[in-house]
Amino acid sequence: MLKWDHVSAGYGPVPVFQDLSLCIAPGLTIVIGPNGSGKSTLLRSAIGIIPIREGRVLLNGRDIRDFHRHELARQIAFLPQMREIPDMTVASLVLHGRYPHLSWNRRLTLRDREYAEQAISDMGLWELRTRNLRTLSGGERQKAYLAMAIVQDTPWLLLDEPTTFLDIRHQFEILSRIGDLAHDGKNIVLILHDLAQALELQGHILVLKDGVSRFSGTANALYKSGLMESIFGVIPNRFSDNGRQVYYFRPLSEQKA
Amino acid sequence: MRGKWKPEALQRWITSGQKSRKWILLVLSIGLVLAIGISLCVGSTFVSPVKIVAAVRNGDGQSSAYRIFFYIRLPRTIAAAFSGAALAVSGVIIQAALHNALAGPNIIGVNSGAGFFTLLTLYLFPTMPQLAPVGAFFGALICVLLIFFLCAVTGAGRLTVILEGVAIGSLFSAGVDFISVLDPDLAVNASAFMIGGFSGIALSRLLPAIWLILIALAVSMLSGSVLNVLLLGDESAKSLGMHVGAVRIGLLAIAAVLAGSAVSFGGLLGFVGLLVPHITRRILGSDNRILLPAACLLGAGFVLVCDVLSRVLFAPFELPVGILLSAVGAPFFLVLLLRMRRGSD
Repeated sequence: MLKWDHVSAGYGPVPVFQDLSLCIAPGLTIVIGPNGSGKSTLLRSAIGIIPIREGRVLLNGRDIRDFHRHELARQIAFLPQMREIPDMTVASLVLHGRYPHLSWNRRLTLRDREYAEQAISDMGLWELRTRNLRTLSGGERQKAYLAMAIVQDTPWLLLDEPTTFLDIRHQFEILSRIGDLAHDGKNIVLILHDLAQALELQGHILVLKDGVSRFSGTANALYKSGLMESIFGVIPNRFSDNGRQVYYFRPLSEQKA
Repeated sequence: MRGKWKPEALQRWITSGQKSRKWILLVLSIGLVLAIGISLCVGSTFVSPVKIVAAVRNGDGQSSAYRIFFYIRLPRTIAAAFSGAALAVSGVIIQAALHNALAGPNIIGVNSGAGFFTLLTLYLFPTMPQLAPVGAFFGALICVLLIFFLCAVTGAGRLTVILEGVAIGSLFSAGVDFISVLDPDLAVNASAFMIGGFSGIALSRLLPAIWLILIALAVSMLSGSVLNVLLLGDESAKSLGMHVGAVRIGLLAIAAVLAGSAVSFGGLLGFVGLLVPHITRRILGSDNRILLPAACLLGAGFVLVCDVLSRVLFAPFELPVGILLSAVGAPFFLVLLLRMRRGSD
């Protein structure tokens, strides 16, 4: 369980959120919210790459600042959104996921390599394993990063908009892999920009706005709450397609028509 | 698949596999041994390898071959090889730690900082020249830490770092000028020191710096995988459990030992720390585990060859090797800047 206990965090004179308290239970949690609502800051504060000014973030009841860095990296893996593309092959990127597990001499064992190979082929990247990341498409690269996070072998996985800027086909592929991981028992906190994708995933929804947690519950409850109108300025609609709920949105200005 | 040969196939062959890496290191080592041999033999008088071996075996302190070998060629060769290796490895580390391909010990002002403190040490303690490398190290360290904190404050744009380096460099050059005005009879000729070169170097003056370089090189050869993690960017490195800030400062301190020690006896040799890492990266890719030893070997060989050229190009006159290095390095740096501007790399 990840718990934010009266947390203020952020750079600069004004923190992104102040006195935020919320809980994320094990399982799949999808975080949505308008731009600047503090979604990224929420994830960053959980792994200590953004200073926590007040309050504390607890992982299973223990303050994350009490963890040794390596120890925390064996509990929580994080995929940031904006990254420069390093000049290395897919295989060496994925192997970096083993970094927090290496002993002092940082030598990779056979087991580390097997782990990486497994993740690479699971993500369908086997043919590309010797290719340089800079020669790959955005979707392939994102899969390589996901493989690296999987290889980190942590109970928790935090993903900051992993589907943004990808072709729609790759978006679905990434989301389906994330669904599989959640099904296999990994605890995932996923920031999504696309509301329809967020509501259609089988997960717990968390809505942030202006650094405040505004909703926590199921997609169905969110749909009926009327919060989509007030927070996102859209009217939600849905229909059932072979027993699956499909969501779509119209602008608020069309309400009267 | 036969018959179709692609250039990237060669690149992949080169970059993949431990075996081919060992081959490349072997080739570079052979090149370095050759360069050392040439540097020992060639100069204002040519001494054949046979004569050198005979002179060393006879141990005849009066023979000219013996004297040339022990008092001129050997110290000079050691100086050139070690300063080349140190500056090149320092460049690899600084580029990775600052995340800036344009950085290098001379570009960010580390060399001039080390130079100023070397001269300051010699001015304050004229009887203790063995303190020079220590002074140089502190000068280099002050510079890298200054750059590091300026980066943290200004956001470390590639060109911003270069400009900060220019400012720091000019500041310390002014310091060097000030000292040479104060004491024109300084133990070291300040203007020769600013150009950089190895002529008339004595083994006794070299030794303390050589020890420092050897230790720092050994430590840096182990830091390849750490540098690779930094390639992923700060956030990823932190989320993998690395203390990014502390690691950066530690790496920069090693780079300061290397550059500082090299400057303490070789003077302000420009561009080795920029040029060699770039050439090595172009051939071998960005994996720092192979880049560090390769840059070490190539840097040593490169400075040795330049030093030999500086002895023979305008014989019987000798060109300080710093002039040659700047003449090669400055245009190279401009080309890099232009490529960077066009968005490649």
